[in-house]
Amino acid sequence: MENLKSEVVISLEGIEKIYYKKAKKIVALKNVNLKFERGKFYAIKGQSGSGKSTLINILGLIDNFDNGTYHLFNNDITILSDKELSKLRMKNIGFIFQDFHLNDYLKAFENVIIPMVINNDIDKSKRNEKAHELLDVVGLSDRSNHFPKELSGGEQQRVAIARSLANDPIIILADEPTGNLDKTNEKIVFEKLQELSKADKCVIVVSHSDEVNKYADIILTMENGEFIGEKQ
Amino acid sequence: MRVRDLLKIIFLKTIRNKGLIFFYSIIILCTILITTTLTFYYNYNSFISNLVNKNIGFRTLNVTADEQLNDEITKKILNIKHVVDVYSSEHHSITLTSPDFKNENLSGIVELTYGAESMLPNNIIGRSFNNIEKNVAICPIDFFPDDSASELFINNEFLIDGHDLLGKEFSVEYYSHRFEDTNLIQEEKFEKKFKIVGLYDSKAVMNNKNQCYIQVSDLKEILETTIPSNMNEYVSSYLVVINDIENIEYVKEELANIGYKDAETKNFINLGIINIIMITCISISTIIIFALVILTISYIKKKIMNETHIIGVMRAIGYEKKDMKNIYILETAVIILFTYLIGITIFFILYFILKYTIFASLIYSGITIYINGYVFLISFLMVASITFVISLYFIIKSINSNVISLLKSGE
Repeated sequence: MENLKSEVVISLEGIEKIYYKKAKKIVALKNVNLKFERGKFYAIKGQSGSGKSTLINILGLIDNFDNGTYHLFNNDITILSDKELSKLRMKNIGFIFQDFHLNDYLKAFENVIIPMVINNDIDKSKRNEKAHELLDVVGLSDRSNHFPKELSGGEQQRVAIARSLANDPIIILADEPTGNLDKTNEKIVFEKLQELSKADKCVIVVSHSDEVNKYADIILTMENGEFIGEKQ
Repeated sequence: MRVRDLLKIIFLKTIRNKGLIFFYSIIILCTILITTTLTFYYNYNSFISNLVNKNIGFRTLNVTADEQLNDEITKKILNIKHVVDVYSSEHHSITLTSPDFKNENLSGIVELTYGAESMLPNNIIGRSFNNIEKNVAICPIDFFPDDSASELFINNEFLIDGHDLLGKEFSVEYYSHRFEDTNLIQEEKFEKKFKIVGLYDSKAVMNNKNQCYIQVSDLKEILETTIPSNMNEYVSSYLVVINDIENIEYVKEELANIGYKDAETKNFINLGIINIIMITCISISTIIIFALVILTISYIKKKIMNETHIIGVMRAIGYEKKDMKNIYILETAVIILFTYLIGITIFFILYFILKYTIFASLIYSGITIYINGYVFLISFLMVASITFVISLYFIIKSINSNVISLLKSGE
């Protein structure tokens, strides 16, 4: 895990992902060559089935690929065990999902603490303080003791953003983070993600929304598993 | 992952998940039902075993004979190894009314029983009979002179403390009879007094609570008066008392060898009823277990399905499979153990309430309700292990799934 300060945090070369559905071969990703850097906001766009979610799952180390190489902080992830991949995810990657995926039985601040529980680098006595700080960052300091069901969709997604930052990861992956939000909350979420990229994080967002164009530094467009365009 | 953190997560999830109440209730109910069924099973078995081993009627053979018992036959039967006494079945007992015990709560019915030395229970309070004395009796310590004395459930408020009767007299009334055609006509009234010289524990020998032992001569005197003088044809039978229930078969064979082939125990257990009770217990247990399995599978599947996306998220944010298994296995174990203990506590409360209320009078019939330690072991194995194994199967199956499929299941 050396070289954490490298500008390029993710490097993909010739990545291919193939599915077989009823013996029919489906190429989800074709020869993907990409580099992702710190301090940048990436938006991955494309039609449904274009392969963007498959890509973000591979980037998040929760899916594998069939061909190519993937380097995360110059580490070849193909040779890592499930345990090592879990540790790499815990320390370096924050996830934000379309459905928020908060634990209904835990309060907002407890949801934020959950990733810290397995991180021995964070002092146990400072977890609460840090969770409240992160909720303050996303503007929810007054809602920290609420359960997810007591929060609006936008607030839940902001809790999810705070959770994704719990272990201070360099990479933030968001799969349709505004898919279930109204325009106002969509704007708030993208603003927060932009702030994170400006705070030297590498933010990668998969989104259908054109609103993301206003905030992203780089827009990558996919079609049939391939990148067909890149806008700065 | 630290154990304290693990326990805290489990505690919060368990306390706040209202959906668990249904599952708690199932385990609690099954625990109570299984434990109750097993306790009944053990107590019933124990009662039957006590009855057979303690009551003299189960080691007394009834032998049908062509002729009246005489000295020669008596000597011949007493020569058989393990036989301790033999007497005519007519002289076994007689049930009479005692006006001294008759009141608005008790009918005063007393069973006067053949009180030969070999028949008397051990540990008599006061004294036993001496050979020559007459009009003496040995009655139960917990004396219940009523026609319901043989029933298991009595109103123990009306029990008479035998200690208050020791040394005192009571009388019994009886009548002479004669046959007129086929009708039994009551004739002259007689009264006989008995002094209570000793007390015995009717529970220890599983006797009726109104059963007093009297001298054979007194019993014969009453019987000879009550039996109609003009009754000249009746089947004769003897009662052969054996020292131990283990020797019944041996004595039966020996009796057959000297010509008494149809000897049967005086008291016997209705195996049909026992089998019905045993089968009922086993059936109830099986149904409970079956219901528990079905409900557990259905609940755990639903619970895991509701939480798959949480498992997926936790895996995505870096929790290892091992961490997730620890969380869910420990959570399940805590829930099962906690609810099992609640079930057992409720069972204990019900047990003590019933034991000291509805079933309180059973003690006077020699039935001591108790809890067998195996009941807890068996009920724990049945309830907890079944629930745990089923839960474990679905938990491990779910956690081992691909993270993406776990996340998608919540969408």
